[in-house]
Amino acid sequence: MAAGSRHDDDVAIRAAGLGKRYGATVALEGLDLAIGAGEVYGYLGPNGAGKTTTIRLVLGLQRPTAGSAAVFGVDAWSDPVTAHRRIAFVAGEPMLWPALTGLECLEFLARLRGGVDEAYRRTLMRRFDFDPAKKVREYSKGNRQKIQLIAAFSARADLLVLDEPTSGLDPLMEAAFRDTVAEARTAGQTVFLSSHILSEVEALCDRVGILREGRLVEEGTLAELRHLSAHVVQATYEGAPPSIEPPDGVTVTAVGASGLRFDVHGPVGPLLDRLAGTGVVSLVSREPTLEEVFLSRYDRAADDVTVTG
Amino acid sequence: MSRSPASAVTLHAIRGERVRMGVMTTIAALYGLANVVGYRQAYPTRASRAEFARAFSDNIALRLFYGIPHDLASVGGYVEFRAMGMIGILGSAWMVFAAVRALRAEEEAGCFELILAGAIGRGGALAAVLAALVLECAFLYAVTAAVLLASATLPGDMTGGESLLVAAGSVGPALVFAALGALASQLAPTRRAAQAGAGAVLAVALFLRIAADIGHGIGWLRWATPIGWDEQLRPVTGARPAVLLLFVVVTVVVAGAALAVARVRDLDSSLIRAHGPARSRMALLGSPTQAAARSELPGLLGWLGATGLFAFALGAFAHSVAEEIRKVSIHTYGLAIGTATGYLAAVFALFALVVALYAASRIGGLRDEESSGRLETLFALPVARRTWLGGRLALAAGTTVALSLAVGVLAWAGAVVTNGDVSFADMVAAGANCIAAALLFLALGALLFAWVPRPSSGAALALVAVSFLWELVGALVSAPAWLLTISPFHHVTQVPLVAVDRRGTAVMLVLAALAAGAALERFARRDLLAG
Repeated sequence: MAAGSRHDDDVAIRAAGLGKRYGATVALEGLDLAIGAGEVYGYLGPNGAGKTTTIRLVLGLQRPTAGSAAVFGVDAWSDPVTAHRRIAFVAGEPMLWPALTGLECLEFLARLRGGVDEAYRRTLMRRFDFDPAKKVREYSKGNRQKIQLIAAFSARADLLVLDEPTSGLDPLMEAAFRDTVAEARTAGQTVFLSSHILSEVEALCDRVGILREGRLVEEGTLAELRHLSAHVVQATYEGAPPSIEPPDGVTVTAVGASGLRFDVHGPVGPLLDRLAGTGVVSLVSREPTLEEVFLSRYDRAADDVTVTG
Repeated sequence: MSRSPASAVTLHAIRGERVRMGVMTTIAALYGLANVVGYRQAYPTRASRAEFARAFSDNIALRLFYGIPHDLASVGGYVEFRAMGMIGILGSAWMVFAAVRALRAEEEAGCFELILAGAIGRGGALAAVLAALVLECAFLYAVTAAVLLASATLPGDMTGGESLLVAAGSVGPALVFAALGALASQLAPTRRAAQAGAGAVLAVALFLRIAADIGHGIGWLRWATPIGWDEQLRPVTGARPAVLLLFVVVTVVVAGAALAVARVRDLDSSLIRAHGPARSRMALLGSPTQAAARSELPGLLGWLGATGLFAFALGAFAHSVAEEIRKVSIHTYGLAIGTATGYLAAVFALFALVVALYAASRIGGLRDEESSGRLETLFALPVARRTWLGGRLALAAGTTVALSLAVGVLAWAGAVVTNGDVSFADMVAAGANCIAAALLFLALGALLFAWVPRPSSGAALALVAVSFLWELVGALVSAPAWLLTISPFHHVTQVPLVAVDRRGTAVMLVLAALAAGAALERFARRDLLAG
């Protein structure tokens, strides 16, 4: 990774050989990350892959058992307070003070942060349709999540660390969240978005890392990841499709009664040559969705077997 | 064969309580054993027993903790006096915790929702948890009875029936407070409020028992509370087994009330709760310590109100009680307590315990912040761990000092309104004398929190209880001298009747500072542990 040469302020999050064990359990191993300032980075992985562990290490809440994590060049474990002056964090489970009202909670978080853009906070409260005049214990999970989001974004921090931030939000609020992330990107803020909602990551992120069983198994821009994954070609016939021997690097699966789907690794030409003259009625060619990329990475890593023809 | 939903809930509740049940039962067993064996060793002959009984029958300080002795010249009479009521009080405190943890805390955590989504009704689930609490009490009973039966075997010790009755008296109050804890869990909106409510009932019960035993002409107050019923039971010195019915009947009535409330209320709601829009107050939100002061204030006022009122009452009684004592005997422990000041000096041993319990109970608040995950929210902000823990400990230390001094001042005020000849400075000194031990318990609790966070809130309280019991039985089991002085309570002298143990106080304060410093260092370096 060429990131090592970048200046401190250009790298929002840097992890080098970062690892965490809990007794015999390996939660995270050998993680190298360099997330540039201003980047919107999607961090994907199934449950238990180590996403939250990564975030706890980046925030200095837990001590790495290997390697180190730094935020804008400041070590996360040894100097968390300096690091946190530039971070705003949204936890997956909103853990707030039940006896405070929504407004008191926002004010408490703002004062602890040491600053807030009050005008923007008012905007966000309207956007998220948030009623601040209740005790935290009386809010639903979605409403408690709104408190965290409003507090984090109104802090105008250089780095937003978001751990599955939209769990508990309805689709309208999810849209409001996407607008807000887009504003943060425009303002030059860095966003680290841990999620397993693939459409969200696809819509928002410049670069994506896929984590599996504590290891980063893939990283790149969406275009790069798609390129690595199979291109999808779908052929439809009148009636039953003929039997086709796929060329190397192509797998074939039947779709319905009259369709074939080809997952193509490498050039498409040889497949098109074989299809010529087989009576194709329609031919659709598209890039894989992030979901297909994710599932293919996950499955492949799961069986360590690549199913190509 | 599949288990019924009710038995699954019962087993789940017992499982969650098994560690504390083991600790409580071990303490009860050891304490019972220590009293039987210790008494036999310390007073082997009839003459030594008679001499002991003569010297201690009117000791006011002993009455404070154990009630009135009826026969100090036999193992049975001694165990009835020393062990039964004390295990009863400890067991009651345990059951308040156990009931609230299994009910209100589970509900707060959302676990009860899952249970009620199963094939079990609101009343059925509560009944299943109550069954678990009863079984836990039954276990305590079985172990206590077994220990007494196995140890009090010499001729003249106790009959089997007497041992069983002492064990029953040891567990009876716990049964009632299990039901009270369940009722508080239905009425109060949060775990803390439920614990505070049921805990306050226990405190009042204890204070009423003490008042009945040391006050003049108010012995009937013993009938008012489960703690007092233990004294009325008198298993060895004129048994009144019918008193056991009181425990059973009141437990059933209170449990019935809890069931009635459970059937009509919504999940996650309570009868005592304000709904609707709340007014936001922006004061005291500038730091975690300020916010903690905000949330801890009601609790502190509760402790202050209950303890202060009792101190005031004891102060008000002081003059007349001292006169009574003067008529009966002048010397106890070789100290003249036949004056109001002397009498108050003796009763401040109780306040040393209360203030220490207050200090140790602050650890629960720290652990709450962590186990709920709120510390992750906090420490993701520019908040340093040392600042947070240091602030919370300073707040706890400050309120501990305030509580100690307030107790002294209120005892003085009580004495003054009844024309007791008690000096303000003496009473403030008596209050201040409670501070060092309490601060040591606070700092040791902080150390536990830093090293072993999960059991720390209970362990901090257990440390106070064990230290106190050790101070009570240590001498009896002829422990070596250095082991006797290890309890902080050993160094809380009867000020102002006896001079302050300056060296002990200084050592405790230094140890407290060291422990607090070590706790800060360790806490800054360890992983946060939610859940």
